[in-house]
Amino acid sequence: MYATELIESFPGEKWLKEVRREAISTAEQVQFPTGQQEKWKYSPVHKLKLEKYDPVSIKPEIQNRTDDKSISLSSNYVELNDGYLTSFSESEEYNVLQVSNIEIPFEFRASRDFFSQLNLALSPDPIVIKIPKDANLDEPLIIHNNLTTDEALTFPKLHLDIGSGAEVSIVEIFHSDDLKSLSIPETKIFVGDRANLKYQQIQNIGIDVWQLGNLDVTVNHHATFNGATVGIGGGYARMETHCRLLGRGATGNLSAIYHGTGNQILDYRTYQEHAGRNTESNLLFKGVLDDQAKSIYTGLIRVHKEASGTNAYQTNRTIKLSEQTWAESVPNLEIENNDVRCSHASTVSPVDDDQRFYLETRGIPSEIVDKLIVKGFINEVVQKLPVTEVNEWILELLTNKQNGKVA
Amino acid sequence: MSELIIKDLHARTEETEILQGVNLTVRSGEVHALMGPNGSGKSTLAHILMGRAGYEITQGTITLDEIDLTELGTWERAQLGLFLAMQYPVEIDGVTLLDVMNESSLAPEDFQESVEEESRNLGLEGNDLSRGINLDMSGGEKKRMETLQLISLRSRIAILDELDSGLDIDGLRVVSSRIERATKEDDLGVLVITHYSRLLEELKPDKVHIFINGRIVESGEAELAIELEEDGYEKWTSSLETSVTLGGL
Repeated sequence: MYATELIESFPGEKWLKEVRREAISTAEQVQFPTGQQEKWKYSPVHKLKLEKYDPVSIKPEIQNRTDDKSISLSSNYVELNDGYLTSFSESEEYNVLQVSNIEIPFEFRASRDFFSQLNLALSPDPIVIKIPKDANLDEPLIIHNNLTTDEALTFPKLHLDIGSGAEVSIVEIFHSDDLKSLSIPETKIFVGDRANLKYQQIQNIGIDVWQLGNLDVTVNHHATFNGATVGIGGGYARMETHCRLLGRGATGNLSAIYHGTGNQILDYRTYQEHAGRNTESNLLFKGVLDDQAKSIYTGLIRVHKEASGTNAYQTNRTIKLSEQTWAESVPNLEIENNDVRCSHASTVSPVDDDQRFYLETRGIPSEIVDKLIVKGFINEVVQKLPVTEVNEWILELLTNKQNGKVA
Repeated sequence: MSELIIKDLHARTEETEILQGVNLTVRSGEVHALMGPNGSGKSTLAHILMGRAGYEITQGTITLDEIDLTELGTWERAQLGLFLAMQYPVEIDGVTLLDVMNESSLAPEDFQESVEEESRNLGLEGNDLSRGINLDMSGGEKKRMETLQLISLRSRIAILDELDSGLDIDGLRVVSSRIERATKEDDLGVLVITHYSRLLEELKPDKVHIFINGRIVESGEAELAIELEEDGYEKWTSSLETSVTLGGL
């Protein structure tokens, strides 16, 4: 089996090889998902053939990507190409570590999920970014997660450890060249006590790339995670977000804007898990679908027995610009405590006829009317985007997407 | 000089016949009031003139300056100079008045200054124009906002669908006198749909038409509106054997 050879070829201490081998055997036990499993319902994952893609076993030679607008957003950056760390800026406010250089075993805590285990086993260069206690970053830290090899299977793996009391903005960009590949990224975040993390994810991969992503966040005592994702690329792009409010008084806000066109399938699964007392989560996901695009949203609010004083809200709204689009929106609640306030709402609807008529009576052509309505529809989320330094760029990406331009 | 000519207009939805032969001509500078009981089809007429989907014109024509409107989309009619001030202006979060002005080809290039001036004229100066259009506005503010757009977009013929509903007395005076001024200074032609003669005190009609069951049953001078206010529609409705309920649009 190629996985075994691959593991042997990766750098790292003995302990890391052992962790990888174990992960492979766990993945084999868990098995490749089928469409029958609840968490893979509506997903085309069963059409996926892993053997059609090749893992990238050699660190790619990368030229400076100075033409990329995202580079100029901040002087703090970490760049990964095909899952390998290729460059980063040094700073006193954070440390970038390659796990393959760490002698003491690092605890990955990967979930018992086929793709998480595969990511753990086959990520060539897992990275840990540590933000020290009470750090205060002036500029956002931009993580560039690029895909550069055609027909590749890549496993970017990141751990972000936010020290207690730190105030940080992090932007994670998933970007690809115009190629066909499969990427299985996993980002794990620990937000320390009283820390405040603003996290913006921007998924702008090519239209022939499949992505099966995992974002796993743990928020400790009185800490705040303010996270958002913007998704515009991918043939099939899935992002599973798990926000675990572990510490008392923890807050987790999740928002998203996604826009699918052509034959894209955008798939979002969210878990708002309330484990600590007096925790609060707010989720607002808004999707725009055009042409024959499809979207799936399933969200679970889970309140543990111990989590009294929970406030948890979840809203997913999808607007359909064409009749050929398809959307599924499934909210779920699992509550084991009585002292909670929870609500969930979901709608899938076409453009409002009254709004369209109103704007047309002002002499605005139908095509532009729809653009205005979409702008209005996503505005509520735009207002909540956590890292304001990149908002203008995000709006430009969304506008280009709507105008049918390749961003 | 513009001229909206409605000739023998018949229209229906899938279920019901709504317009049953409407004849009306509105020229630049003229004010026509259309009055009628609830459910007589006045608002529907306004929507049909503006090309709202969901109605079928089975007979007759609508022309604006000799251009046939019946096959044109709503925005195309608007671009030719037809404006509809809505009875219930919709709230659109995230779409501002400035977006509307920017995207409408009817707005003059340097609209900013004139919009600000009109806002002051219409008592909207306290409102944040960078907010979603009509969002969280009172009924009266929405109607001032409709008037602001009507004036700023330099329409040639305006249909005012119950512009007076939601406006208080002061608001009514401000709005109606501003439109009256536009009929004098800019030659605006107006078709005003209303239940009350109060709107017509400032915005003086050249003709009043009584609209019942999808057609105009009588036309007269401004005094007709006063007569209606006093006696109601009984004189016209009682002569009809059955009154058809038309859905209140």
